[in-house]
Amino acid sequence: MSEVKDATRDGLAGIVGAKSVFTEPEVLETYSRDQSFTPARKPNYVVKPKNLDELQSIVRLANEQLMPIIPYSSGTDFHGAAVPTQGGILVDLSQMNRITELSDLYWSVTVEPGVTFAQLQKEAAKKGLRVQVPLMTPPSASVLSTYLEREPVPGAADFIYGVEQIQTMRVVLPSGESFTLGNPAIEGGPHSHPFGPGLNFWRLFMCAQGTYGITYEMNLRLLPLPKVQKIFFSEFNNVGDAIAAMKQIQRQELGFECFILNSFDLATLVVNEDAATTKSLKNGTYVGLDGAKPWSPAQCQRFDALRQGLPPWTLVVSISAWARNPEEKVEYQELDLRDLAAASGFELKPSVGGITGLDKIIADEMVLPWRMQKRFGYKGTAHSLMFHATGDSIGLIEDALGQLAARYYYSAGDIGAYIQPVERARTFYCAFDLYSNPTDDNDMEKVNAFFNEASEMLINLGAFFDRPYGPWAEMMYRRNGNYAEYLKKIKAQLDPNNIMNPGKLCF
Amino acid sequence: MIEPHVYQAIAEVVGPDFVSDDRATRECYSRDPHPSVTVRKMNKDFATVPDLVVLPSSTEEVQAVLRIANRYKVNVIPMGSGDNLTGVCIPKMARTMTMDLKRMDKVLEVDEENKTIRMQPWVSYARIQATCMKLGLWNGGTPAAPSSNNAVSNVLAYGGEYQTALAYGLGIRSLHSFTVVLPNGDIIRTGSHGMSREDPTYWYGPGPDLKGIWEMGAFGGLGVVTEVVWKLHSWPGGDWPIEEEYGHPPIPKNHRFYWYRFNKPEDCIKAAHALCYAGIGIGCNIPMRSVNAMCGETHLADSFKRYDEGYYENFWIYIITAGYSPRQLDYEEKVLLEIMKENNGEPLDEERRRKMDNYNFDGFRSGNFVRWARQGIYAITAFGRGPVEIMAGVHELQQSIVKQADKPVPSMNSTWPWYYAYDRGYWWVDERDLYGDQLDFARTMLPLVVQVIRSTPDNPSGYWTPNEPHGAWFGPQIGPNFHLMLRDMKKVLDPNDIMNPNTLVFVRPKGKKPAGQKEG
Repeated sequence: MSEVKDATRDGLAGIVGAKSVFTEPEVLETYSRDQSFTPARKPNYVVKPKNLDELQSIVRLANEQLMPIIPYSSGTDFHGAAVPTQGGILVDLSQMNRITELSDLYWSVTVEPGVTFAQLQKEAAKKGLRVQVPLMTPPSASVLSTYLEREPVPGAADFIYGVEQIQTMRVVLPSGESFTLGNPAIEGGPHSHPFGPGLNFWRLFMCAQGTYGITYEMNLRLLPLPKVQKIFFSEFNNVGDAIAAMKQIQRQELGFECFILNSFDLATLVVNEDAATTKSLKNGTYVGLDGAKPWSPAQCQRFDALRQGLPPWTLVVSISAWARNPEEKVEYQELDLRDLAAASGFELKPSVGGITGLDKIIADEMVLPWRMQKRFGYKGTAHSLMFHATGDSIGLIEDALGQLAARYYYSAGDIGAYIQPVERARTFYCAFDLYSNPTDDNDMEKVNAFFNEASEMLINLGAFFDRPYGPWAEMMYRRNGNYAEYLKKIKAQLDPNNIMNPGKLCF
Repeated sequence: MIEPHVYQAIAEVVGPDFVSDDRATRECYSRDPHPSVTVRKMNKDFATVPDLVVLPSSTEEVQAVLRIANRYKVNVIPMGSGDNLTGVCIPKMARTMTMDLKRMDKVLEVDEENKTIRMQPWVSYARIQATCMKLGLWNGGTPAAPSSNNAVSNVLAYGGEYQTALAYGLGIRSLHSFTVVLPNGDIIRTGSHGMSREDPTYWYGPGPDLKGIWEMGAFGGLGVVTEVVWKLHSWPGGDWPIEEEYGHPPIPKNHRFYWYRFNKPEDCIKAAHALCYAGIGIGCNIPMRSVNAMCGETHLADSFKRYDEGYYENFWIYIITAGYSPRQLDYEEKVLLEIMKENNGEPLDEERRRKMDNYNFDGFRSGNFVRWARQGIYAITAFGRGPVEIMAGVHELQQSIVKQADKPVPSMNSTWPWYYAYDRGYWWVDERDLYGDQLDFARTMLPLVVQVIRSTPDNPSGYWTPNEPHGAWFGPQIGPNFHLMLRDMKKVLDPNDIMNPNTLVFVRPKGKKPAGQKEG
């Protein structure tokens, strides 16, 4: 029997070579879903370009054949952004993984989409530098995608090191043309900033899930590794008090990495795992397509015992110094922080819950976090409600979420919480996690319904889902009609054939 | 000419007192010290004079006026405080209406808890600071511009080169979210502002953030921003100190101000780099000696004299530190002194330090800075971006062009660029200016300005802010795709090309061309 002629496959093979094009069902299956509630859908082709030329040719081919294109970087997205909605060509960018222009003079680096945090951190450390990593992100995540998706890092508490770490970007537009944003748009211009020349297009490509183009290169800020670091903890019985203390700390611009965890998330961070599990957590294979292997009963018991001994809310402040006279900087900040704590009535402690070495664990997580991935094993899958909220609305949100949980027979104690002040507590990024067992359809259905109802409720209480994955897109754009309308008009202008990740956002 | 029925329709929206086709009134909206405008005025180019001036008072009035303009194809130039110095608000073609936003001057709300201010576009840096500093907050800086400068139009046009951008970033990073009216009357609100006008929760999205499309040089070419939410920062300075002696204001409390001079440019550059990467201070700048000469002297003649004598030198650095405790200020001072010692920095002598007292005020709020414009003709030739180490190359490039002038160039044009540190010193802005001391000199300056701008590909710092004459630089060196992206945005947001046409985006429908330019 002769093989069916497939012009798309042949075209792709002509661009990247037959070995880098995949149509085998078992391969397509591995790109068809993630652990989120997003319905599974296989792409028709998976292709792995190695460079810009190949990437541009793929986009041009897709345009000729009106074939959807789904960019895919590291496969560690847990929110369905890279799950096809209409089939098409899934472009796996993992082979575009070069690190260039790593500068210890200007604390910056250029990465391609396949570069992972583990990979970059290793290279940066050779020059005494580090990239800042969001606390909930696995070491195997793509640096470029994570920054493009605006996920705040613990240092986002400080201005300028917030979510605006991108200096310049290069994008393949839906037409296949390459487009440079920021200063290097002028040939030879240094990677100094993302603005202009004329109009700030970089913000248009953030959180776009590849719908306006594929970002294939990004220049980022780095920081030196801390020379001296002290980490303090403060206990609170309710989230409102923790937020109030955090606001006072940020008002005086103290500390660098600062955040708040509830007892569930802090217990997740410190609970021990066996060596094999730890290895899979560190190499980013712990969470698979269907989630993680649920914890053993013994592990669950250890976890429960641990969290019972922790305060409901823990505020973490890290004082870091990497430049001149670091001991003196940490010393004055510690004294200032202690003065503030004494005046405001909260206590600074070296640990909480009697955990030994907690500061060391936190310090490690600041460099290359992996421990929070353990939470996926609590029941198998984790579903984050990720949003921004002002400090005064978080208490209300937490309370309402607990009440709604009861209606779904979901234990309020099983909601993980991570709260990250951004830009000196001007706003707070919140991740409230719900858990479900992927092998139990009823449980998945119940938690999915809880997740959706909670999302609507939280928006009405002031939560702003700035990264509108899955069902949030409809919820957010319904409330921002003209905004969505103009996103669509720009999409129609840039991508008239709607080939770039169709079905995502409001497209 | 604008037809009477169009005039009447606009008058019905804003009221007859707030629209004018009076010749004298319109003439006031046709001037600017940029040589391109000066030359046009000297050539009696009547297209510099708008046909109509309108002063709306609300988002709704802007919306109604734009709908009328869009229907009758009247060009619209929105204007803020009117102190733009690059000609972007000066009409280039007939049938143009200048939309003066000065009636939209209200501070709507200060949210102390979440550190934001919500306001209309015609609010100056001085107003924001007067409103917020007493609450322990401020906007993070001020550019070396008049304090009457509208904050919104300044950052939308030029990004906000604050003297304290070291700590707080370019002003554009402080733009939280806004309301923009498109020429067809549609209103877009960005960030959480889109869900509720009062909601200051977040400044991006949802999803792709549209805000950037109106930022950094759109020059009202894509709509009119009518309301903004602006980010505020902690201000430890308390009440603004009283200036008891003119020209010698005190430094706000919990702040320190240092001036150093260097004999060698390489020492200055090394010290500047080290200061920024040491993580201290809120501002670190290397000001132009021409500006120092202008600001440091009460009389212009003294400025020239002292400049020519070399009293004001290149390679002075000023550093501003702000502390939330004396411990912090002491730590930062210790680090600063170490760096200066290592790099042969000398504290500025008392006499010249006293001349620089104006900066004690202007470093935060801008008062006497407007003195630098006293020469009359003035052109920013670039706001480049790059590391401080390329400062010498930037200077040499500009000087190589200035030397080609066909007339003697006023001495102050030999100065090094102004270097502002921003974003914690990751990078610096290099601002390069050219001055003319008499009107006629504009004819000599204009080709120099064009040539400097055209040298962009050879410029070590790049260049982003489009100044007049735009055609000289928005050319192929920027990259054809950037140009095409600009056109794409124009097609989506202003398909009739009524918003400040031929200023940023060159979408020229057939027959639509600047006055005096031949088709082709």
